[in-house]
Amino acid sequence: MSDSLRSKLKKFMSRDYREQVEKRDKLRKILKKMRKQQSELTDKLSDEADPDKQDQLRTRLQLIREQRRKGINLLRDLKSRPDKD
Amino acid sequence: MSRNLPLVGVILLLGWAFWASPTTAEIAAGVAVFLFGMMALEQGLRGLAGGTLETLLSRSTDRLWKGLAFGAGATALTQSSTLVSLLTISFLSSGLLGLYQGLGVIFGANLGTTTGAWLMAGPALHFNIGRGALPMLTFGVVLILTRHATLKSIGWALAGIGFLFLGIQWMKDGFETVQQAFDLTEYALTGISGLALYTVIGIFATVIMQSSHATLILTITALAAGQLSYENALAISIGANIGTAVSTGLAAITANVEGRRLAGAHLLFNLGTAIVALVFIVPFMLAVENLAGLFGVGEDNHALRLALFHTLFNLAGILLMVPLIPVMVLTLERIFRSKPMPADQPRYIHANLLGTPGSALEAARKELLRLFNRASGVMATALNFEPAQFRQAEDPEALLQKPPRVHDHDMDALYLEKVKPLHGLIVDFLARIPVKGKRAQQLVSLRMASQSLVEAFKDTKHLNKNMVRNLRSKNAALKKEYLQIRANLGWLLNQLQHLSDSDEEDLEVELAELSAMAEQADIVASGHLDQLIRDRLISAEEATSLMNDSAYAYRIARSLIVMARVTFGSLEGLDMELQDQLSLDPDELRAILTQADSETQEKVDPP
Repeated sequence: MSDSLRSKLKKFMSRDYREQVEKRDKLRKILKKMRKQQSELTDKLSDEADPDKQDQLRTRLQLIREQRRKGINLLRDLKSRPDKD
Repeated sequence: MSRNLPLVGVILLLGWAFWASPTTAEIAAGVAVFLFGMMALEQGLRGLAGGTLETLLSRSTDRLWKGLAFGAGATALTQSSTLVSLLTISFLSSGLLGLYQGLGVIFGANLGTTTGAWLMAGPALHFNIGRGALPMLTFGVVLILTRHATLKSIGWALAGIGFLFLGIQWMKDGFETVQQAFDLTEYALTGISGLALYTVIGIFATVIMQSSHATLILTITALAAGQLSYENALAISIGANIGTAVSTGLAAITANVEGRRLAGAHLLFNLGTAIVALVFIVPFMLAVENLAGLFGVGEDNHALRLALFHTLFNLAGILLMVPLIPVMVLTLERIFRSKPMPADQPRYIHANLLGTPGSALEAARKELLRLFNRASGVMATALNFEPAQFRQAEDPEALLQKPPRVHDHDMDALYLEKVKPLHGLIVDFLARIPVKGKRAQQLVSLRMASQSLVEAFKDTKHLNKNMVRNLRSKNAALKKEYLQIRANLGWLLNQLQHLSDSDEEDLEVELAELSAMAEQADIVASGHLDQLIRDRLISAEEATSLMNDSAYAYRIARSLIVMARVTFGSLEGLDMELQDQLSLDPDELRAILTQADSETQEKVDPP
């Protein structure tokens, strides 16, 4: 049986597995969005001349970085988890 | 008693039929089994595809053609216009769908329902489908007895199809026996009188059986057995269309205004289409003949011709009615006016939505959002902000000004009047939504969010007692601290109101920023309170009050952010577990703020 067919069958039969896959997909999407936001903010920061606004952008950037770091660790953890059948 | 007379009449008539004629009994039992099959199939499909349909419908809201395609496709697939209509009404009621798009779905469903006639006139009549029914029923019932929700739904759907097949077989057998005994076509009527009489028969049959499919299958089997003339069968199919709309209209009497508008549109569409079909029946018949010749439908295959006619006049109805939708929307909104919502009345949640958990949860979220907007307005008033100053503020500093007059608002009375009634209704509604799996988590999150909102309101009440007193205080340092707490809370409410209105892409980052601000404002953790005591700017007693009130402000901010995280985004994209895992805890936020502070310091005083 091919891997994709096995995965589809497991998804159909096991709610836990289905939820785990859904969660991974959702997290990937969130991380992708965060990466985009991070690069946008970096560009904005380099163009900003006002020091107060720079501070604000820097804090915001730091918040996204920290959230992304947590997300990447979580994704790694989810990937390494054995599939529940 | 008089209300039950039709039911008593039908039961007596059927009783007599069972006693007098085994053939009539067989046909009647066939119709009953067919109807039961429809119910079982609907239950199965609701479990299997209910969630998918809800998701699909939520994506079909922006364009009319999408609504039409969804209505036609979903009805053709599920063979249940009732399911699609109910879903549409629930989406309309929860504000997820506009009337314009809703009408598109309903018109599309009318076209989708005509596929039933094709299935019945095609495969159903030409095979011994009764034989196929038996394994379906057996396997269906076995699956119904399992615990797995998906398998159970498949079981209901299989059993439903089995019962449908069995019902059709019994009707076929019944009409074949009738054919051997006597010829019902001798009673066929031609001309306008025949058209009118059989249209009325079609209406009555559909209203009584609550299913145009049942009327059509009865008509098609009678037609195939030669017990009904082709012209009379066409009139019955037109009547069946009107009958469906009458049934929907009767069901909508108890519905909310959106349900009534949709039922009104359904009635207008089906009546208009029927009138056009009756007036232009000859051109329609000619068109059917031409198309039948084109598709190679046999001369004597009246059943397929009937299916073709049914599709053709519904399609003509759509072509005719779609340009009239804007006028229809205006008329229906004028006839069925929505009343202005009193403060304690819900706008989105309604008992009708409980059958569709996805839209019920979405309605609850919108209602909670409405409650937040009201509660935050009251909180801002209680904090003595002038509405214009509060709305137009562009940064927290703009809210630091001392209010011209400090009023002591009765927060208990405001809570009882503006928050509690609607909050109670939301809690009650949430308790009655039947959910499982992912939706159960969403429901718990919504309940927590509603609780957080109320806690924030109550904490504001406690904070406000000292706030009012200390805003009038002669101690300038103390007054300044309370003005700062007030400005921070005002800014938070202002930002949350903006976020609740907008389609904010980076909600999570915005909320993290607001959380960081709440951390920064904590005067106990920052050591600012100790500094005030050391400098003897405030007394020990004042310091205790300030400490408590700073803690209240911190709790208010956290509660409101918890509420916003659940309520401000769409529920479909919500995964509370993920959000919790990704959100930054107070220690992490403080670490980021400290780092940001030291970076700024380094820039000001380079080493």
